[in-house]
Amino acid sequence: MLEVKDLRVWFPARTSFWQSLKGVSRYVKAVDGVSFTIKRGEVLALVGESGSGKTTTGKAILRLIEPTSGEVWFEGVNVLSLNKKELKEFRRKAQIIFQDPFESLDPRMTIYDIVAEPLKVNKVYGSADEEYDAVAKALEDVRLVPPEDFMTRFPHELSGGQRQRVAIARALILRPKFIVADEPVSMLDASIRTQILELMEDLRKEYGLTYLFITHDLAQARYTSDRIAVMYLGRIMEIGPTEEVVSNPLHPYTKVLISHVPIPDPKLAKSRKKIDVPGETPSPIDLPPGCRFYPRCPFAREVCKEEPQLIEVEPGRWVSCHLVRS
Amino acid sequence: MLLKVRDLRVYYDTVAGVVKAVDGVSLSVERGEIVGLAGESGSGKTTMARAIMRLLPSNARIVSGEIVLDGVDVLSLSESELKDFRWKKVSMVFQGAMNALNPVLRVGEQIAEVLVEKAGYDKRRAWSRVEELFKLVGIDPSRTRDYPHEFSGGMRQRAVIAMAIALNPDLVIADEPVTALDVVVQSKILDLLKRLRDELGISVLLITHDLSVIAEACDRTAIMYAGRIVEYGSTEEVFEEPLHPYTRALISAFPSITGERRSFEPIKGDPPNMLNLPPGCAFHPRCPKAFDKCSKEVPELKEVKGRLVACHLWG
Repeated sequence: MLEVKDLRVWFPARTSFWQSLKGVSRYVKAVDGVSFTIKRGEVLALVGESGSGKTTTGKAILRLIEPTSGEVWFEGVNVLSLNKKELKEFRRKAQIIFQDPFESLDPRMTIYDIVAEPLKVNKVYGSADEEYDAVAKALEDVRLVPPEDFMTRFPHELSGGQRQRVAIARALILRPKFIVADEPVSMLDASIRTQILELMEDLRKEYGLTYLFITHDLAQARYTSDRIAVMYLGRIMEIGPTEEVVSNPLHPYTKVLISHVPIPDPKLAKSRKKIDVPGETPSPIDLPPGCRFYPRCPFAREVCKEEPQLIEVEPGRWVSCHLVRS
Repeated sequence: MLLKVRDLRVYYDTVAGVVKAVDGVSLSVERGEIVGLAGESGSGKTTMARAIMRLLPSNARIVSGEIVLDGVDVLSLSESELKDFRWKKVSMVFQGAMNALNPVLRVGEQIAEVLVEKAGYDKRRAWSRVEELFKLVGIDPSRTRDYPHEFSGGMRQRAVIAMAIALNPDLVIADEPVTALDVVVQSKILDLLKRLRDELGISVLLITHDLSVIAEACDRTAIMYAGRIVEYGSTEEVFEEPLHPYTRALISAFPSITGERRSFEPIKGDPPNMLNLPPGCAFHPRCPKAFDKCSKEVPELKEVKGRLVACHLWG
């Protein structure tokens, strides 16, 4: 359904006056050669720490940020070559849900107007009755019932969980096929988090949706996705079926990361072994050549100074590491 | 017993009404243990911390209760006595403190300042203590003269912890100390807290919404809901066999990277409105096991199977 090929998003970094005189330009390579596919009806989790480029990737796919280069194929068309009118058409099929339901909803608009806005912008319905019915159905879909009770209210009158439901209703009202969900539950309390994740799963089944689920939380990715792609400093380190990646990570970075994920079970937490790793994720400016993880990797060798490619080492398992070969 | 909180009630007067943020909480912390105080937003955990520090905002009232730390009656301390109490007896790592370091002062200087102002260190002794503290929390002592922006997020959090332990307090209250940090950094900061407990015999009251952080670091755990503690016991026992339905549901809401992939048991409904709490047990409208009594009587925190539980299911 979706194929991303060698996507790059580079932002110009601030350079000093002296550097600019010398013609030096520096870039933050937020996304630097990312490729993956998502099958229809699948949930792909894009997992990474802060600065890994996961959110930039999600936004670039929908062209909410203009990519520097690459291709994004959606149902046979390259999204990056669409003109303005075609882009509008594309956005009816591909939507995004943001992390913060407190910021993503206009506080001055009623819930009705927020949910109906995409219909108005796209002039979907001719009559007010049709629009009303669609909004009512969208609110029912996200279990804000009875919908009349919510339509005239404002975002501040709702709880965090209810607000995220409104955001989902708005994203779904144009009946899209593909959703980028960018940390959709990170700002919510644990008890509400599970409700929203369950709702997203129900809606996926009901409407045959495909999700790109962006999260920093590997444990959450384990519970919500079919496959996991792990990003580090703008590149994908590993892609594979969720349970396989989680129980048998192949890339050293994935191994390190998984060994440090906190476990909500004191006995298991005590008995597991953490893999020691020096330092913290560096800034994505002026990255050294070679593997991004090379300077911190406990298994690094001379060959790692060359950039590894993401290759399939076992059926369905893609790894970008010189030391992991089929 | 290092810290003993008995029947504490802290209410806020707001334009919309009275918020009973902490409503009858009893809690104890032993020397050299890490106690987790877990709960969702609005459960009262941060108010607890501020009450122990005597740092409540002006619209807060301590309605009743007692806080005793190492034999000192905290609630009766005068302003001048508080100066000897904070930092030396108890200190606090605030949520987001790593981003609140003064950007134009060297990191070491900010810690030295605490030593000079609160404990009368002279400059030279203060700087050598700063170096010692850097070593203790795992930062290269050659970096005491760096500015905050030269530190990574994890190093800034280590520096904030160094500041908190500068004057050898008995208790450090850490409010969401690893929230917003990356996974590997998070795990290293939790290891640091455990090491400080082991090496210095320090006690930590660790406040968090994240039960996996609790499971990683805490010896004992108290679960709060709507201003009250619903369960308090050894972390292993609480996770092994949660007795309160809320504890049980909350634990099941946290996915795990290892072990069996359980299905979530979602907690229905929303957290209660603190201005208008349901009668009886505040959790009863969301509780799968609620019966008559739960909507009528507030359950007392009672001893069940060697721990404390506030639930009518347990008599």
